[in-house]
Parts: sequence; C-alpha cells; structure tokens
Amino acid sequence: MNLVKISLKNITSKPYPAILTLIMLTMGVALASLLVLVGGALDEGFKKNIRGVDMVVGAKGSPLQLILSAVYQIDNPTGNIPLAEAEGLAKNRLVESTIQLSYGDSYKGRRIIGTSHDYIELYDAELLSGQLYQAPFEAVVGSIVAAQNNLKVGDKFYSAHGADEGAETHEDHPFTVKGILKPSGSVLDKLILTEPESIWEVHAHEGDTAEKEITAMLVKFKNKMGMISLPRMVNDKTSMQAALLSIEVNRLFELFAIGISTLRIVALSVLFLGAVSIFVSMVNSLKDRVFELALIRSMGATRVQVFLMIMIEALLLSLVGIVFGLLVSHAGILALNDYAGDQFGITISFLKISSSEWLIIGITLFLSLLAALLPALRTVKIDVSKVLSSHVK
Amino acid sequence: MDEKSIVLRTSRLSHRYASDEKLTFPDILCQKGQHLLISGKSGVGKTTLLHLLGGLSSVQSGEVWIQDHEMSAMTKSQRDAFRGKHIGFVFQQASFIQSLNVLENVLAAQYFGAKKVNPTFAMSLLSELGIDKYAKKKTNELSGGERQRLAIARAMSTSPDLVLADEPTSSLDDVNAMKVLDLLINEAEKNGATLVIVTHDNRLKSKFENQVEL
Repeated sequence: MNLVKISLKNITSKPYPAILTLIMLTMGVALASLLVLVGGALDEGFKKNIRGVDMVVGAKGSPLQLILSAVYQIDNPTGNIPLAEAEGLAKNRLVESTIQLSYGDSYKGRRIIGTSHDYIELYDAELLSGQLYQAPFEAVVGSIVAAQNNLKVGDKFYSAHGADEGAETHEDHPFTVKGILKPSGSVLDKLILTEPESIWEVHAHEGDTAEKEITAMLVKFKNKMGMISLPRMVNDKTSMQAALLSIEVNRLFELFAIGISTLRIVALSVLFLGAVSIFVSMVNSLKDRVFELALIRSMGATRVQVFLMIMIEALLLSLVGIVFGLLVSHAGILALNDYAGDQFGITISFLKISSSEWLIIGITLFLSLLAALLPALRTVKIDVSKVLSSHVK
Repeated sequence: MDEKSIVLRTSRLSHRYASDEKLTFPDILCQKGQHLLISGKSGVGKTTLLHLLGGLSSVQSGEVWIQDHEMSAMTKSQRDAFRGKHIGFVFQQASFIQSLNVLENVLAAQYFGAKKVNPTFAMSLLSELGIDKYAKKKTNELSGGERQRLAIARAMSTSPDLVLADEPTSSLDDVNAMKVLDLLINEAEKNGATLVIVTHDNRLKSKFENQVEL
C-alpha cells in the first residue's frame, strides 16, 4: 500500500473519465510526435541530398522544377542543355567541381542517369557487390531498384524511353548490371547509374548527333563569390538556367510550412484539450471525493500526501497517454516507412525517441501537472472537521 | 494518580463557532483502559468536542493532552502525524475509500497512520470482527453492520492509544448496536486502546462506569 497504488486504484475504479482523458492525451502526443518526426525526417532527407551542391544548371524553366528533378529526382527535367556550354561553365574560376547528369531512359519506372563516378562519391555511397561501371551500357544499380526488381550483378535489362513505366523499350541496347550500391538514404537508392555515352548512344538513331547534350549539371562553388556572380552570369549570358539550392529549398519549405504549422496548432490544441480534460475530471471527482479525502486526513495522512495523491493521478494518466501516443505515432511511422521511404528516401527508426519528442513528452507532463495543480491545491485547504461533520447530517 | 496512565485530559476547553455561538466543555480525564462515554442531546457540540479531542480541528482555547503530548499546542501537520499514530476514529456513517477493497482500506489506514503496512495484522483484525471473508470485496457491497465492523478494524489497525467513536451505534438496531459496542470494547481492550464514545444513544449508558454528560 502506497500513494502510487492508491492513485492507480482511484483511476481504475472510475475508468470512463480516465479513458476520455487518455484518448485526448494519446491523440495529442501521437499527432505532435508524428509531426516532428515527419518534419524532421523531411528536413534531414532534403538536406542529405543537398550535400556538396550549391547550384544546379539546366534548361530554362522553373528553377524549383530544376532542383526537384536534378537533386531530388522527383520531377521531370526542364529539358536539355548543350554539353559544350556546360563544360564552358565548369572551367569558370569560381567553380570548384561539377557533376554532369544525363537523363533519358528508365527501367521499370526507375531513372537511368548517365553521369561520372563523382555522383556516387557525392553521397558517400558504397558498393554492396560488383564494381563501378567502366564502359557504356554497364550500370550500377541503387539498393531499392535492385531489391524491387531482383537485379543481381551480371543481369541484363533493356531501358525504356522516357521516365514512364511501360514505355517503348530500346531492345537493341541491353544494359549489364556491374555493381549494386549499399542503401545510403540518398536519391542514389532509387537510381540506375551508367556512363553518359550510354544515354547518347541509345538515342543516336533518333536525331542528329551534331551536338552532345546533358540534362543538368550540379555545381559546387569555390567560395561565396560564386553564389553572387555565377547564377546571374548563367541566366543572362547562356541558354541555360541556374538555380541556387539554398533559395529553392527555402521556397520549398515555405510551401510545407503552412501545412506543418497548421498541424502543429492542431496537435498542441489536442494536447491542451487533454490537459483541460484532466482538469475537468479532477475538479469533478474532487466534489465527490472531498469526504473521502477528509477521511484519509483523519487517518493521519498529511496535506502533502493528499496533494501528492492527486498529482500522481495526473502524472500516471499523462505517462500512459505519452506511452500510448508514442506507440501510435511510431506505428504510424512504421507504416509510412514503406510508402515515404520509396517516395522521398525518408526512413525513421521505430524505437528511437528524438529530441523533439522528448520536448513533447516534457510539454505533455508539464500541461498535465499544471492542470492537476489547481484541484490538488484545493485539497490542501479542506477543513477536515467541517467535511466530516457535515456528512453525518 | 499515576501520570503515565492518563490517556486523555482536557482543561478549560471551549469552542466558538463562526456564528459566534460559544460552547464550553467540562474538563475530561480518562485513564488507560477506563473507557469513557460522553453523552448529550443533539446540538450540544458532541462532534465538535470529538474533533477537538482528535485534532481534526484546532483548539481555540483550553488544552487537550493525549498521554504526555499537548495536542492543543501542535501545528496542523504535527497533529496529522500524531493523529495517525495514536488515534483511531469510528464515525457514525462508516465511510471508506471507494476505490479500495475491504482489506486495502485497512492497509491504507496503516499506511497513512502508522506509516507501516502490516497485512497479517489487518487480516487478523478482519477475522476477529468476522468480515475476513469480504477482504477482497468492495466496501459498498457490505451491509450497515459489516461496514461498522470494518470501521472498527480500520480504527484498530494502527494500534492506537485512543479510539474516538462518534455515534457508532445510533444508526443500528438494538441487537446490532450492542454487538458493535461489544466488539468496540473487546477490540479496544485486546489492542490496548482506550475508547471514548460520544453519543446521544442512551442504550449504551449501562455499559460505562466512566461517563460525562454535556
């Protein structure tokens, strides 16, 4: 027999108000934690793919589309640019390094990109098996692509024209899988990489080969000066467009921000409602329990003990709500892992509690205890003699 | 008179209500084992006196001594602690912590009062009072007489020096009233407690040598 046990019995002997409070707390914690987890993973996912890229150069069009297609591989390219012009820019003294990307074909809906080995190095990706491609029509396959299509080193496949699944296939040029990458959590997981020549040769019969083209070029600046002068130079003086990653990603996050802040308000409101529910059910039950509390005092319980008993009840409720809420949100994440992991390369671990979640736990505990504080303080003022004698009559 | 054997003593005790009505109580002296009956009609302040004796309300003027402790000089928190250790209560309407079962109610009294839980002793009290078979039952499943027995078990569970009973029998019929009174006296003697009953129930008068009329 101790205070925690008595508090627990007090909760379980009248389960309905407790269940209502628990549902509110669980929903609030689940929503809030889902929000920070997905928000944090989005943020991390986007930043991971930014690494080492300051600017993207591609065909004129929407700069956001250029970034989405060239860095995140989630939109169609804006078009192609002349290789010569891109190489000219690469020689600029403000440019530290560049990576050329050539799009064109796909295999089972996965993009085939002609690029150099630098692209793999950019994301610190490592080979799971096999080796890097050395010649046209040799390919290195990302982990998700390999797993979904059961591709192994030595397998051959035919590319399809464009990025759509089931498009016309190029039957005369099979690709050979030379290597498979380990999962890196970056866009590489969902790509097939090959020599740029492969792309050019596949499409050689379709038009003139007078001028070689690439789709986009990732640029890293030598210093801050590049950021100021290069985009303007590219946009004004060439047929290409330049998009600064920092600006476009900020713009992208502003788009998300409205949704995320709305959800944040919803989550906080539900958490707040949970706390209000604690307050209301405590105040309600105290009306019925004043006599019982006076009785406990007559048995020798101190005012502090009675106060603690009420606070422990609130603490137990909020702890259970927190545990349930986190379970719900992490189970939700588990379900999202399959879906979102494929779409954006976001993966979230089930068991880990993030620092923002600890903040949510703190806020929930604080709100719950705050809600119980007023009713609990009222018990301190109970006039034991008056309550006990009023009951007799 | 042996000072050591005095369990309860009051002197010049009076109480003024918020309504300005003032009650003055006769001095009480009660030695160990000398059970005391305080009788009086409704409205003469029996419950008020009992609450003063038990430290449930603050003494405004006069003194209350329990053994060699002056309770009227203690702070509220000191009284809480002292009450839990030395005094047991039996109220007219036996009330319990509803969320706890019969046995747990006795254990809770030990926890809050003696700060030490002794389930073996609690069970033996329940069986002496014939309600051990209800140990796991909810208190609201007990009959009136059983509830009063449980109240006695609870009062005795901390082995108090003094048991204060407020109209313990007035809601019971003749047979049950006498049974409960016998149990009260029996248990008090077994556990070395001195019994003080306040009541308007004249049926009890014949049982007490030591009486005070308000």
